[in-house]
Amino acid sequence: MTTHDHQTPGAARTSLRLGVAGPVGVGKSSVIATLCAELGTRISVGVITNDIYTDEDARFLRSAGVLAPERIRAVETGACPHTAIRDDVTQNLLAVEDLEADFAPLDLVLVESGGDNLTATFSPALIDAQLFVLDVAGGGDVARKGGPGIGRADLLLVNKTDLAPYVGVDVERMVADAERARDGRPVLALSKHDRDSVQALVDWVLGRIAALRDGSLVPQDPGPMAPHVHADGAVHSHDHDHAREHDHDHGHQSVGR
Amino acid sequence: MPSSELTQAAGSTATVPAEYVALLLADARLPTGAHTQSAGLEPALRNGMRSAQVPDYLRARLATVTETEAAAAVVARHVWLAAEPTDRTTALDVVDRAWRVRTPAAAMRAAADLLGRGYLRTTAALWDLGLATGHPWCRAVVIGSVGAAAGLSAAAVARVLGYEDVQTVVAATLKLDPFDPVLATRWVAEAGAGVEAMVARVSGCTRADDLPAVGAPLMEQWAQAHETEERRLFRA
Amino acid sequence: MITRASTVSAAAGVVGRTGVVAGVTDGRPWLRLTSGPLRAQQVHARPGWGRVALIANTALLLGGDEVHLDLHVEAGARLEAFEVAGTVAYHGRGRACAWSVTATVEAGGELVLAGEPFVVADGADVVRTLRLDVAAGARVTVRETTVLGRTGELGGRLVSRTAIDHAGVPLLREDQHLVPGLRELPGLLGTHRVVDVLTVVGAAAPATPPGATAYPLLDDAGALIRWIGDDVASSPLHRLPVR
Repeated sequence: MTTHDHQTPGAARTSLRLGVAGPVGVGKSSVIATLCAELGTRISVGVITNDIYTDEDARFLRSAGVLAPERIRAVETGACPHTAIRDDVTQNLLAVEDLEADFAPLDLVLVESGGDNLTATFSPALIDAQLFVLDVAGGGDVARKGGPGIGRADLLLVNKTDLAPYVGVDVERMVADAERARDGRPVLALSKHDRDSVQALVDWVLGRIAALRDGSLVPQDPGPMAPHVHADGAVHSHDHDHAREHDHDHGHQSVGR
Repeated sequence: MPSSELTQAAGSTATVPAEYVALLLADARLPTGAHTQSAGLEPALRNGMRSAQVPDYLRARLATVTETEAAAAVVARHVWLAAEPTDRTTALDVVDRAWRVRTPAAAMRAAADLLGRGYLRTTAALWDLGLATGHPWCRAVVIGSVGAAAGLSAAAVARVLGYEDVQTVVAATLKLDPFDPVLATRWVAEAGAGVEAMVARVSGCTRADDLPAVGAPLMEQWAQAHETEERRLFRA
Repeated sequence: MITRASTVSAAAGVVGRTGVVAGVTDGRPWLRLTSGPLRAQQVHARPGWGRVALIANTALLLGGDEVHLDLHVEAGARLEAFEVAGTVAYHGRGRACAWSVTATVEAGGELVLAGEPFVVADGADVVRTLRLDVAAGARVTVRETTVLGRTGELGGRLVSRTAIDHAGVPLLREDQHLVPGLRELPGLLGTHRVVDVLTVVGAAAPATPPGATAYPLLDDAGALIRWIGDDVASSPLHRLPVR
């Protein structure tokens, strides 16, 4: 049919496209560097960065030496980081497909969003699963305030837990707040200096790759719309996932508790 | 949304009015990744052009690189219609090459290739265009082909290219150096006469050899420099 | 003070062709020269090369003048042609003038053409053409320096056309419409007056000097290196030895 008849999400693709979103400065690049360091020699990894103003994240990752520089590519967003990962994901998709073609077979493509506010999350047309990253330095109440990424990303990371004593944040309480806001979806307190937490992150990612390959992973959109109750009492999460209403839990139970 | 509910086979352009397709192709909301492009505006500002000079910058583009692109789209449309369906891809390759031969800045070619891929990705999923190639086509060739399939006139195809270029520049100006959007829209409206003059110059082109090749030396220089720039908002 | 060749009517303008054919027979290079408005004069060359100085026979370039230079380098031959002085396209008194260079370089041949500044004075209306037909396995280096206006002038009209074919297919088509009212626009030339271009086909281009911009040609066939600025003396390309 066409030139670039690449695979689309949902087709028989073996590389997990994993989005990494979250506000500026929470350590998204650092999380990606950690994953590259842990996984880069075990499986085949590529990275796409979406910086708002620079290719600084790409350069940071290249200079970190955790992955071959040619496996790290920057996509400009035209000052629209939301657009580039949500409504017009075309340039990111082209970059992901190029990486997958150039380094076939890839196991994992990490897509880093341009650091933005709390509302930016990835379209399921671009990624298979997404991390949302917060850090303790952003304040203990951020998780409680919620937002689509915090509430419904596949995994919420509370990063830089080693800094908690210095910024007066109770990590356990922050995680507990987050778990409440997430209605049972997983939360992971992460510090790159805490071996167990890094291992838990690695295991989660490997679990997503396995889920993609056995067909059990279905990309979800965390929002921007908050779940709400219609006049008839039915609960909707605005993902129009009626066909799967009984198979998946996202969005449906989180109101009215 | 689950993909099962949304997946549909490519259909025929015949069911969509040509004028409607023209609007669709020129709409910034068409998912092609066009929001990542500034049509050289970001590097122009970086090299000292002032936002107030944007109307002159538009004139410069319409007399040079945009004219070449629009002419290539017009010829691609003609070739798509004239060639046997089995020969289309080869014939369009010739048009694509002719545009490249007239576009010395590799950065400009790369930007047009990315847009070409974006346009093709979306439009070929909507409609069966009967196109197959192993390498990217520039945006002009893709738009010309879609325009041909959708029944657009040569002038309409050229106008889409001209309008799209003008809007890309002005929208990027508003992003980089915000000012009253009414003034920006006035610039777009006032560029209309220049777009129509350009449309009149290129609408009669039918052969790849006929493509105009008027260069824009500083734009080309700025585009090349932008490629290695570490701080940029737009791809090109 | 402008002196014209007495055989040519100033009203008709100087119209003529200058030809240089470079060949090699039994390992010995030879030249066949045809002089026109430009005199082609053989000068001492490196071993294996033919070398030609291009000297204006008369005051060039006035309105109505048409100067053509045809260069042909046969297979395996090497030719270096250079201008001994710049050319001024003077006020045309309402008449256009033309300057064209056509070069054909056969397989294994090599051409170096080193131009001196081509100055477009106020009132001049010039069409300048460069056509290169470069066979696969041939090498060409051309330096072209354009100056808009003499000192204190803005300069006249110049339409400059470049057409390069390589290995039998089009490689580059580039027209510059450097006419007053258009060329000052942002993105064209702005306030700049000098365009210095080094074109290399069939060989690796020299390192791009700071301030100049390299445009790699299609098919990895070479590069066009261009500097845009205000005076020839500042051009890093003009100081680059071309050979």
